[in-house]
Amino acid sequence: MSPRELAVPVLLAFGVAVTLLSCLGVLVMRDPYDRLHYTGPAAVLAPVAIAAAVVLEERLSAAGVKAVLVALVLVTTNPVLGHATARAARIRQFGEWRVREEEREGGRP
Amino acid sequence: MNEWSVAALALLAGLVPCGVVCLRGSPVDRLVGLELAGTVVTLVLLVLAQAYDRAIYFDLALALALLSFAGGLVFARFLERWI
Amino acid sequence: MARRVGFWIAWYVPLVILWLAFVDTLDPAEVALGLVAAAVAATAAELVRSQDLVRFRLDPRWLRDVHRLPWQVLRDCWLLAVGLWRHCTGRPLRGTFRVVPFPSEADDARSAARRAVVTALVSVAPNTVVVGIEGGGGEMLVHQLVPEPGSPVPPSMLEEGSDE
Repeated sequence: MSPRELAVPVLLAFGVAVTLLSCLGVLVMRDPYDRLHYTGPAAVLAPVAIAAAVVLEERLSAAGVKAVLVALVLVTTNPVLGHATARAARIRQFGEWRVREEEREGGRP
Repeated sequence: MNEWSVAALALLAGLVPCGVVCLRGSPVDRLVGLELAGTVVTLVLLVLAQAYDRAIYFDLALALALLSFAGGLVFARFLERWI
Repeated sequence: MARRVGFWIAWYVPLVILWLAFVDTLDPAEVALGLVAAAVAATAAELVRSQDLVRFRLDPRWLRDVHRLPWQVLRDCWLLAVGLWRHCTGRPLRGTFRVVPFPSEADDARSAARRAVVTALVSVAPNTVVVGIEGGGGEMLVHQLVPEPGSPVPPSMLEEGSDE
């Protein structure tokens, strides 16, 4: 088995494992803010690993380019979505997102 | 059955926790579950494109990634005050 | 006018390349369709840009520390994995809000771009999510799952620099 043939299943397994761990994290966390953090690995690390597996198998053909594009879209949009969701959650909770006095001194609101 | 099909099956299992979160919890919890489900399905399509050797599934994955993002933003905006 | 043509071309060329990458063929009909579709899209993009709805001026120096991001992402994913293990074995994990200094008082195109870029860069790594930036107070509100000392803001983004 060549290194390339070995790398593809390893990268796939890694991407799947990261995604499943993210799903478990979203399930077990109690707070919506805490859950939000666990969407990160599935949207940033897993797509890169899976796109790398596709590129290793297909080289930079149309398939490889599209896989890279999908990974790029997921990596760049997830931080924006996370920020928007956290901000919306905070506005919903407090009426506005601004810093509260007790947070300036440290700790949870 | 190749490694890509197995990966797709395994990724599909990740939709169960997302579904549980979408069914229970506060509206923001459900939005987080929905966003993660969108990501998981995008990855499933990416992997299925290789499993079935169908290039069109890459286009589906890209469309879903973009639309999930737009949809998530719309939900987040509405959840601030109106839902 | 020359500036508008320049922006139009800056949109058009990458869109044509993207089309060709997607269709993966140099069939004349596909290429012709791609040239037309890219022209429509580039025209739409330039029309929206010329409305001046969003004023944005990027400074390439802000991206000086972007090479640290992959390591930061891997490190944060490991922190989250360890935190998940602890949470599942009886030591619950609770995130906290933190206030981080981030001077950003101006309200011009450069400052708007700076706030947007720092929000995106800091939120990429899974352990930290930016909630908002308070311009008047020079503060950034972030939520961290695993508390970490120090500022999550890349050093290259901390200097406010000169504005228009």
